Amino acid sequence: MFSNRRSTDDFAEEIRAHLEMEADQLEAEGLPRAEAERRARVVFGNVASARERFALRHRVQWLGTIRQDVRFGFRMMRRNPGVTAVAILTLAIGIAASATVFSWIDAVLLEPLGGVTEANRLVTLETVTANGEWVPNSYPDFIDFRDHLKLFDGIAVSRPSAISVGRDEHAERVWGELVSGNLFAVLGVKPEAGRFFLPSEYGDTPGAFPVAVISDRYWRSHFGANPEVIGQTIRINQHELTIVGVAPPAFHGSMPVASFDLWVPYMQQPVLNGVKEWMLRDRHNRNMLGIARLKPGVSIDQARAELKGLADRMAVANADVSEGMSATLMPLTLSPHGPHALIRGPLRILMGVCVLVLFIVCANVVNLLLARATVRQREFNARIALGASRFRVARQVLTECLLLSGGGALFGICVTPWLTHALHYLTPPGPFQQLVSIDTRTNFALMAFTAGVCLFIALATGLFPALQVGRAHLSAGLNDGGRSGIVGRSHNRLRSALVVSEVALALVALVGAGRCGSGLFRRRAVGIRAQLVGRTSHRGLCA
Amino acid sequence: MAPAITPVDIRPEWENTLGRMPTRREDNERIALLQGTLDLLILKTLLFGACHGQGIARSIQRQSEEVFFVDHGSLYLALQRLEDSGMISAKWGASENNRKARFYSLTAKGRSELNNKADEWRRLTRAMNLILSLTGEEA
Repeated sequence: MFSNRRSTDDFAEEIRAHLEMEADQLEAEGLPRAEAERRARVVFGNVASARERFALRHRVQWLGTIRQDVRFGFRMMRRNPGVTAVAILTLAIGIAASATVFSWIDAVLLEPLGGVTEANRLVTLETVTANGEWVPNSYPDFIDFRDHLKLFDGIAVSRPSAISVGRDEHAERVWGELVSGNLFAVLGVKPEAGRFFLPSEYGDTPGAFPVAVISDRYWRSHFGANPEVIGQTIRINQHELTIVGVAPPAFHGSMPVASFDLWVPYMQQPVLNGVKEWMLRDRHNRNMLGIARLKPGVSIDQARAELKGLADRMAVANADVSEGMSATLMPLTLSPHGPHALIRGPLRILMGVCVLVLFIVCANVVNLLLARATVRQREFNARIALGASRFRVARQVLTECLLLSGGGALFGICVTPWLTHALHYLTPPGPFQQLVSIDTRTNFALMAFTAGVCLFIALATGLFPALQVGRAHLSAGLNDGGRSGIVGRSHNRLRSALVVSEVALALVALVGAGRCGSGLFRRRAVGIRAQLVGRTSHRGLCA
Repeated sequence: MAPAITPVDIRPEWENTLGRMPTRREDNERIALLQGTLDLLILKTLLFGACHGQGIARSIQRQSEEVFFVDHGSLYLALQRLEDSGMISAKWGASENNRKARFYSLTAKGRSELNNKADEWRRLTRAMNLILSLTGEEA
């Protein structure tokens, strides 16, 4: 029907032709020309209206009824402000909770690193000890990996570090990363201002690169987003470094759900931290987190095999320190180091709890709507008796539910950014807790998720009332329904079932929340030592 | 002198309910015809050959001995609807007075639709006649 749509201009042309021909004929019947033209127009009627009806002939029907539905829905909401407020608040709680958990899941599991390109080719590189534990890498091992592996576009290392910025008495502690010079190139990050480290700064000469990159957040909070900051010096651990670039707002470092503000070439470590130069050449000193980019088309298994082959040869060559050791790759989200490793498990439980909460919220709202069904049922019967189709009335019910869930979503999405910060409190105390940060800017994924939840709720809450419309017996409803007739036994059974399932869901949710809490608590107890201080006998990850 | 005839306005009822509530003011005076009547009349008119909208309106008026008055705006919308559903096809051409006009002609689908609808209509009118022509004794 829409394949060869006719233009409204063509239709107008036809009407003009009609008026001329009609006038011709009237003239032939003896009327003067001017009178004939007038009569033709009078007889035709409203030309503009005909054109409008032509243009809207496909649309007008459902567009008009949707507008009616929405307007009527708003009127019903206004008429029962109490019910509306309770329903919207309930929905807002459910939606805010699920949107919050979704944004955590997004940050931890779906899109662990912001601001990078082609994240699907990025993997974590881990050294494997003789007894199968995953540990960070040593700098000399990294050099071997970087220089000898063929299936990788690049391998970089980083190490979180607390850094003091400023002069003695005004020094401020900032979290930064000591990185191999190629980190930004490997991650594929584009600078917001200035530049990142140059290939000439990728080298392995200790103390040769007194440069630094700052985060967008730090740039705005400490330099007022002044572009002239490029080239200025910044005093780090009592040494002057030159700021060469600013990272984009989406980039927070090479560790998921953590935010860093400074990036300094690892080779400055002897100058900044007083680390002895020999330590950089010590293969025992395993404290660098590895991140690698696979060549396009290379599978993680192929790359892992190549890496393992090299690591096994290295273990033989350096048998004094690396006997029995190997190396492996894993997806970014499975990296065992960093705050996301601590919250990954509990987050999965939390996700389940959230789904249950959503169901409870839906059941509550359905209950609320069914409580009013007595009143509504008479109204629906009256409307059907007046000629509305059942489909139309059912759609009205769904529209109202969509309005309610839309209102809830609006409130929910407003409080989500604040709730998102609660991730901070979920993380076990320790160095990582200060690092944990999450991008609270509403992104497309979150919006799409919320819209999906909104739609789901509208369908879930609207289904029962809408089905009731379909089953309504007209005469019974209008005649003996009277004041109480409609709320029959089946209706009561439905509501009882809702209450029972609600209690059951709440119980399950409670157990889930308990497990989530105890999981976090256990991690608090044992996690800090194991995860943060490092599993090797040497200096910890966050010295 | 012929008795004064109230012209029957041919305007499908569904058009009144588009978007807004129907205003019944002017419609009270006129006899609303069964839905689909205008379509049937158009198809029948086109059976005698391709014709443009103005010609169809005139022809319906004349054939019905001026009983039917065709609302022109509705006629063109009905033509468009028939065209959309493949009952008729349209082509721009020149009228007898050498005016530019859009000529409509019946398609095969429209022809069979006409047969069906005409049969239906005859059955309906026959039934109505049977009832209306009953005399007192028979009832």
